Amino acid sequence: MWNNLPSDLLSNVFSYLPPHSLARAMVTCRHWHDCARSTTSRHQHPPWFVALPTRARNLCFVHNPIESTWHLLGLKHVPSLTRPVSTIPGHGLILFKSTGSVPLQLSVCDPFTSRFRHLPQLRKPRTNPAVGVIEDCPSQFNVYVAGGMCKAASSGAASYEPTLEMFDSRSKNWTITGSMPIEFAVRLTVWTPNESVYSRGVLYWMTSARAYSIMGFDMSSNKWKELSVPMGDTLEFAAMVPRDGKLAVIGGTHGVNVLVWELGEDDKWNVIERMPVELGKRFVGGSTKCVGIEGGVCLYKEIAKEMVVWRKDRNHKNKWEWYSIEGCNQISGKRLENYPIKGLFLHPNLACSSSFF
Amino acid sequence: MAEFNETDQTPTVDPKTPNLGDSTTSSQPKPEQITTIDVAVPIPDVGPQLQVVVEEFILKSGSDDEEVRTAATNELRDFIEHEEIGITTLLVVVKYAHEVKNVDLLDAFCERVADLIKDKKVVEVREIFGIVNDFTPGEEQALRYEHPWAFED
Repeated sequence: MWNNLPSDLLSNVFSYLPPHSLARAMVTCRHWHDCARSTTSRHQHPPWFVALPTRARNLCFVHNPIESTWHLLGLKHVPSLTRPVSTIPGHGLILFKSTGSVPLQLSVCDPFTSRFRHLPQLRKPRTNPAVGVIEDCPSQFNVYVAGGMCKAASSGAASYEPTLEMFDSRSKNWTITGSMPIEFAVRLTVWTPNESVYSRGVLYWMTSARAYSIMGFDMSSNKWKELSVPMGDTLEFAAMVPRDGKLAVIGGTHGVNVLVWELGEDDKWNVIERMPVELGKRFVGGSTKCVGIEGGVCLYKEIAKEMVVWRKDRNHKNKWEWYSIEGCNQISGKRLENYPIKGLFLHPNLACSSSFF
Repeated sequence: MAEFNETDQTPTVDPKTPNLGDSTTSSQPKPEQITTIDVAVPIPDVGPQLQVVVEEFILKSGSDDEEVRTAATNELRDFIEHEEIGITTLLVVVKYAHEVKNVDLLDAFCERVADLIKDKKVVEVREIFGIVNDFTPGEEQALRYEHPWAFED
């Protein structure tokens, strides 16, 4: 009967389940619980938007895209003086970094299971480097740190660190894997971008404010390049988005014009989409932010304000649709503050099979 | 790919114990004629329509031509999407696909089973699949508490 099917068979069935259904499968009986715990999701379901209040470190809002519901998770182990910078989306992890002028300390947190772990110290401790992530496969991820400032041991004078370091989640070690011209080290340090996109063998970072531009590190040739961002000095908000393995940029001027560009093979930008004007009215005035992941983009302000999502249609794989999502102003009947938030995307990982922790 | 074994006797079609060796003849397998893995494992009784669909799929999935295999997978998924397949039958097919190690057949039916679990409540899933809850009330409560967001309805 269904109670005692071979574990690998049940795990195969469960690999097709969205997160809330998987969580419920875990409660049906012991055998299903054990199989669900060792399931590797196929990630066929839309990613979840995660909203972290910038001033309430232990709270984490998550939006279930299938049921269109908001939930509040408590983050128990996140230390003070850290802030979220990006995610390792396929593994369901949030990447945190230390704040202040101390050498960078990175850590990862799984908001659904409250597991938390510091990454080891960098080979070359530095302050304010750029941070990037590449996920090659479900069982491994790499974190990259580029640029930053280093204190020379003898003189105590600080200088820009023109190296790139990589953390391998399997060996759990940092290694120095590349270098850069000093101008890139300076720009990566000054702008300290935390969101990266890996496309066609290049790891891209974008400056965090106007005038937007992009720096890219070609992994195989070890060369750096610079790309201009379309309308880079007019855009008021912008973010990079991976789109079917290609690099895209979404950006806009407040309330009026939100466009999406995709980088072609010749490193030229093409406009591929324009946000419908009615949706844009939500973003007039005030600071709009955006964040992207393979399969979706979200434009947002504070937690209680309406958000706009541009996402792959569940039923028609090649179509993308614009949706608006109501913000979250109450949980279980209790009214909440309208927190300013940092928005991120990830795929919840309920299996304890992640060997990283 | 299953081999076609020439025998002296005229091949007979026996609807009760089908042989998946090939689509042109159906005959009782004789021990000395069995040469490949899948040939020896007959598909259990899943009703005539589904049986034909599965047999055809297994045959085509062994093809060297990728287009044939892709078309077969699409046809199978189409069939699964539009036909009502009972839960007991699904159990039989899924176990069978697992046993004969046909990955595409297994994946297609596993996804169908997942469709029956998706978006349902725990008690509904237990009822549909005839699952007996072997957790104590305390254990179940603790598990629900691990992911309260999944149980908020």
